[in-house]
Amino acid sequence: MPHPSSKNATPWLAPKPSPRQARWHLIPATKTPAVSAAGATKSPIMVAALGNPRQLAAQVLNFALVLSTAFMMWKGLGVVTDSPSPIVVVLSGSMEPAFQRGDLLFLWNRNLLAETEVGEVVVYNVKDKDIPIVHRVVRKFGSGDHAKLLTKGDNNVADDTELYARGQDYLERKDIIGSVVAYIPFVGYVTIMLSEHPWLKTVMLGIMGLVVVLQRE
Amino acid sequence: MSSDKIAVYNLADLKGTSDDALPNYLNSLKFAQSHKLVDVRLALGYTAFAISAVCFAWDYKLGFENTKLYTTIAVALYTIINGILTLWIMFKEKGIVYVGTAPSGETITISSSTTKNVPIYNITVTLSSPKKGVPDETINISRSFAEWFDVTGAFIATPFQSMLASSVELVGKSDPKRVAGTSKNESESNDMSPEMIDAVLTATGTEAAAPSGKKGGKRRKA
Repeated sequence: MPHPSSKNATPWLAPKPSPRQARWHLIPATKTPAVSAAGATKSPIMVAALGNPRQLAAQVLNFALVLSTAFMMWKGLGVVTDSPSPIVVVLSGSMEPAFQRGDLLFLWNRNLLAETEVGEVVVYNVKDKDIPIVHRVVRKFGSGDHAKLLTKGDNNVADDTELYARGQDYLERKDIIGSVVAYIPFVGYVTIMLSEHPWLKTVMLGIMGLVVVLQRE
Repeated sequence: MSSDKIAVYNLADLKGTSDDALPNYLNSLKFAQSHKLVDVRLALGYTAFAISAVCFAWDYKLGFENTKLYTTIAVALYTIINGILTLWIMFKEKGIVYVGTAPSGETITISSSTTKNVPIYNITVTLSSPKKGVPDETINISRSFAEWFDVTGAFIATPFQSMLASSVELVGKSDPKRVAGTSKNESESNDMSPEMIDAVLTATGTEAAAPSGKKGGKRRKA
C-alpha cells in the first residue's frame, strides 16, 4: 500500500479527494514529515531487492543444488554403466512388440562377464547422426572389440544396413552405447511430448524455478 | 519478510516469518550476529555447484568419452561435498536460526522447530558465558503462533519480542520495556489502542534489517 501522503502529494492531478482520503491524509501527516514520506517510497524497494543477501543466496542455492544434483546423478550413472546416455527413451515402433514408443530403457555398457552377443538389444549411435537407435543384434562375425555386428529392428522388414552411415556395413563394439538391461513401459512418453512440443520445456522449467524460489519448506 | 502477511494455516510460513523476526529483533538490541553456520553451508553448497557446473562445461564441449576420468572424479567430489553439507545441516545447524553475542559478551544460540500440524513454535535458547567454568544455560520455550500472528496473518512484533524478553533474562536486560509485567503490553494485546499500534509500527520500523518500507512497495508474494 503506498504511503497515503505520497499519494496525495500531487493533488492537482488527483480528482476531488474523497472524505476518506482526506481523513487518511491527516493521520500520517501529523506523524511523518513530508521529506521522510518521499524517502520512504524509495528505500523500501532497495531494501527488498538487497533483502538479506544470505537468505537470498541460500534460496538460489537450493534451486542450484536441485539442478546440479540431478545432473551429477545422471553423470554418476553414466560413469558406473560406462555409457554416455545410460537411460534412453524409445522413439519409434521398430522394436515392437518388445518395446513401444515411450518405454524407458536402462543401459549397461560394460562387458564384465561376456561379450555382446547375438540376441541382445543394444543402443547404438551412427556416425554423424545424433539419435541413438535401439535394435537387436542379429549377426556377429569374429570376436573382441572389432567383431562385426549387424542389427535389425524386430518390427522391421530389413536389417539396419540402410540406417548405417554411408559406406558402413556393420557396427563395432565402440559404436554401441549400451545393452538394454531393464525397462519401464511408457513413462518416457513425457520426454517425447517435451521434444515434440518444445514450449512445454520452458513452461516446466519456469514452474520448477518458481516453486523452489517461493517455497521455504 | 516480517511485515508481509502470510497464510495462517501454513506452518512453514509461520515458522519462517518467526525465524526471520529473531535476528531482526536481537540485532536491534545491539546483539552481534554470527553468520558462521550459514556461511559454511553456502560455501559448501556453492563449491558443489561449481564442480557440477565445470563438469557440465567439459562434458558439453568435449563429450563423454574424452572426459570420463574427470567426470568420475567430479562425481566423487560432488558426492563427498554434498554428503558433508547434509551432515552439516543435520548435526551442526540442527535448526539453529540465530547465533549472536550479547553486548555483555554472552553467546546466545537459538534453534527453532515445529511439529507437523501443530501450530506451536518451539525454541531452544542456549546461553554460554565467555567466562570459563560457567555451564551453558538452556531455555526451552513453546508458544502458540497465535500470540504474535493476527487472524489476517500479519506479524505483530511486540508480543513476539515480549515473549523472548520475558523468557530469556539476557534479552530482557537489553530490552526491559518488553518484559512482561513491567508494562501494560500484555493486558492490551487483545484490544489495541492507537498508542499500541504506534508502538508496534515503530517497533517493526526500527528493527535493524526489518524492511519497514516493504509496506510501501508493490511487492507481492504468491
